[in-house]
Amino acid sequence: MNGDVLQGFLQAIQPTSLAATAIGCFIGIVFGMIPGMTISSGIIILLPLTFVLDPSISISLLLGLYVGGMLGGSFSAILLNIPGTPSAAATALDGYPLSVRGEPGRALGVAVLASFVGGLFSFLCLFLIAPRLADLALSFRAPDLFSLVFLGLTVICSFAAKSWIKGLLSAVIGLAIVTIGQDPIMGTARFTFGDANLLSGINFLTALIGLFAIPQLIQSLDGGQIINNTTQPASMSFKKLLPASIDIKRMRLPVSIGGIVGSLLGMLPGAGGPIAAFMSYDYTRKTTDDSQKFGKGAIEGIAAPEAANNAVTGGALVPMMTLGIPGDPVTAILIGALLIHGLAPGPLLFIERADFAYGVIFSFFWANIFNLIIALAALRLLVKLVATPRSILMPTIAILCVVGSYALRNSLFDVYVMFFFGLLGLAMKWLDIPVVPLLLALVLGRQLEENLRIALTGSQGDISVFFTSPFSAFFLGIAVISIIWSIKNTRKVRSKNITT
Amino acid sequence: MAQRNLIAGVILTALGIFYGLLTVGLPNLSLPGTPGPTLFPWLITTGWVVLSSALLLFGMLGVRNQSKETEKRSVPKKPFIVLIAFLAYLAVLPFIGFILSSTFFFAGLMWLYGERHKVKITLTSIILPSMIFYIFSTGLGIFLPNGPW
Repeated sequence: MNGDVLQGFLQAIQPTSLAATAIGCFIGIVFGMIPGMTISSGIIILLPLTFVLDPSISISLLLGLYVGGMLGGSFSAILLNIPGTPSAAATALDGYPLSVRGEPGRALGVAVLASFVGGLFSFLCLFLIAPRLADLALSFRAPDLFSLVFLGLTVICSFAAKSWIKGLLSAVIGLAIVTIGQDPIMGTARFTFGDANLLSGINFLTALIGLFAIPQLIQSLDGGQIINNTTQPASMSFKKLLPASIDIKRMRLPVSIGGIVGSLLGMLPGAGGPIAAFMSYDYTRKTTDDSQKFGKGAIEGIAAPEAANNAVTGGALVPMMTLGIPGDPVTAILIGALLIHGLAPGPLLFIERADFAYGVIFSFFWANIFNLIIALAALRLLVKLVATPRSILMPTIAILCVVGSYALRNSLFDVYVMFFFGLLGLAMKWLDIPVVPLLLALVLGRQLEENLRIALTGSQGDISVFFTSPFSAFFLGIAVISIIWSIKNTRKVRSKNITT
Repeated sequence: MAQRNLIAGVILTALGIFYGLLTVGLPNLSLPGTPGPTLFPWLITTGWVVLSSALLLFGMLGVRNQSKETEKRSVPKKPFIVLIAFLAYLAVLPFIGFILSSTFFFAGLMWLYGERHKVKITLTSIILPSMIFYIFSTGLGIFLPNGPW
């Protein structure tokens, strides 16, 4: 155990891993900052590289991008009042007013420091909780694993969709796509239409590139990301980036709240950054004496959501690493990237490749360190990069989509599949069907079917096995609660929309 | 929105039924008392048809309750041009190779994204795809389609 921790630490401090983490952070911050760009877009650019790089380097690169993207999203929220990521929406509430008051540097400094502390807190949670949870998960049998994956799907659908029917439909379509190719138990060809290319199924990463990048290309055409003319970030002055001691004093409570809320909510599949950020903002406002200043540039109002949304990243890695359940699209991509290298996240990873698992955890730690250094040292350069012409950025992404999907198997077939998924993504967007449940179903579908069939084979087709196993019954119970809660939530949102 | 729900309901119900028909044709090779390769597709078919029928029903109810006034919106052309350009690019890629096809595609996209400076378009669309080709083939060992050359 200790030897594995040391091995993991040494793996994470390899110069190549450290360089990859730093590059990932830099790209993540840039992509998070550019309004309309997402962390997923950044990943699409880096994805082809991860196929050929060593798994530890690949994961360092992607983790850096994940952590950096979260912070970058807050930069555009503070400077432009346009959250770069959904998680950064709460940061804009106080970050932008403080920026408008002429203190953008102070707002950014608070955001950077709060993100750093939130990230470190979630690193500790990841380091302490993940191995124990993996130990517990080792005792799960096929019925438990099926129910767990099912829970992951329902929780994700309920959070991802405005309409629970559309969310579940999206997941069902994803599951149907997973059934293309050879079945996981007997190897029977299904839905291949006699095409040998389809025998190995649809590659998750090919689908991901199309689903995210093509709609992004189209969305960027209409100039939907207009930078406010009155706020030119590149011309702003950024004096005193490091928060003053009085600000640090005011940050203590909000950062603690954000760190705890973010880490805990991050561990729940589907809860994600936006909920954690707004919840922390709300708790902080309620616990602060002077709640009147919130919404007018309060330091506490920046620190709490920032600590929360970066703490979510470490929290989300807990179910990903220990159970193989992604909490959001980025962790789903991380799973895909690991699978390419033959490493399946889950409890066995901590047994068979514990050194690698700890390496991932320590790479996450370094990502937070680099995030702080890069954000403080290269802020002026980063802000200028926001002005990268879309006419160069978007064609580059388009070309890299083709390269990325081709590089997976050196096959043009995958490129055509990518384009098909792009069209599917556009159609789903037009019909207001969320894409995220489909994506996560693509990751979880095979496990779901495999465990269902193993469980039913073991029980001779008796479905009571899912209710008699305590773990399985517990997971199914939570799944039912989550579906009911999501139905109620949808109704609440609908009635609120009608009244407004 | 109700109209889109209706359209989504119709399309998805049809696709769900199509998936079910394909499932009927699957070989069910399994040992007695154990689930075969058709079990999961059948569960998916059931979920798909039930959910899409519900969406169709809500869409129909929504359209009925919705006011008859429909606003006419102009359909933007640029997205279609980008998609057709992308399709054309993928069609010619295996024949004329990555560098040449990407250069034309890149230049076209630059123009569609608002760049009008001809020299900038020419230089960028030659340099960037060539750079990507070189990095991937020489640096990473990923050989992109060369074309007839």
